[in-house]
Amino acid sequence: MFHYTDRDGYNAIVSQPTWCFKAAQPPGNHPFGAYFTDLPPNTPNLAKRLGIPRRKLAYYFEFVDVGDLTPLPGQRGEHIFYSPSDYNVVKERQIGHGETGL
Amino acid sequence: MIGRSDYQLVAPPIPDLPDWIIQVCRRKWPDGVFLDANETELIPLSSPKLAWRPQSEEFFIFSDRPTAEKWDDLGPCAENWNRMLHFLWQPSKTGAPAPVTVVIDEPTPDIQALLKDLQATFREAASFAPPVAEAA
Repeated sequence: MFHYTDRDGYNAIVSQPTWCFKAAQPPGNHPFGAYFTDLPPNTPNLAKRLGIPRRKLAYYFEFVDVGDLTPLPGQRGEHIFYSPSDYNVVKERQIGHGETGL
Repeated sequence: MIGRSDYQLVAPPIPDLPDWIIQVCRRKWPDGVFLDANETELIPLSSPKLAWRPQSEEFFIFSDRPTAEKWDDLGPCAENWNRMLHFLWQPSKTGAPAPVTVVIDEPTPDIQALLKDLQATFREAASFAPPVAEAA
């Protein structure tokens, strides 16, 4: 599972041993939450699929999915998931993080 | 990490749904372009090449080529607000109606009219479509 963010978001999350992805109200008609996707950085048209500018894909976090995230309602829910509250990822689940090159 | 707004339509079990969507969008945006979600080539909505893409299950339609070319850099913003439509659907294998997700920026009256036009076109398309079993 992946979370994408900009530099400020990356620095805030990576500074803690347990990653904490903060829930927030996203734009549009989506539920309050922390958002994730199973689409990797090399997915074609990733910015358009997620509906965000490329600069918000500059950094990634990858972690092991344990099946506790909720699919977004509708067909984007095949690849986009959320947690309705702050979502913590302990070290044992962390796979990698860094720049995406996007 | 997510943007824009998702709306659900229901389409009859027709095999060439993207063709019908493209027809509606071409009326709204004669200079519009099509982009399959898994590809990079922008195809004008007026191009006969689009006839080869009836099975695209995820695609984008932009109002014009410059909007498409700048979208990733700008993201949703005033300059391109509601000028890109993102469609996701899956062909029905059972004959049941198929959900269609349309991702927009905001349901302005203009976009609401487009969604109504799409839904009406889907109903019209159903009257032309052969039963799924015959089409398979």
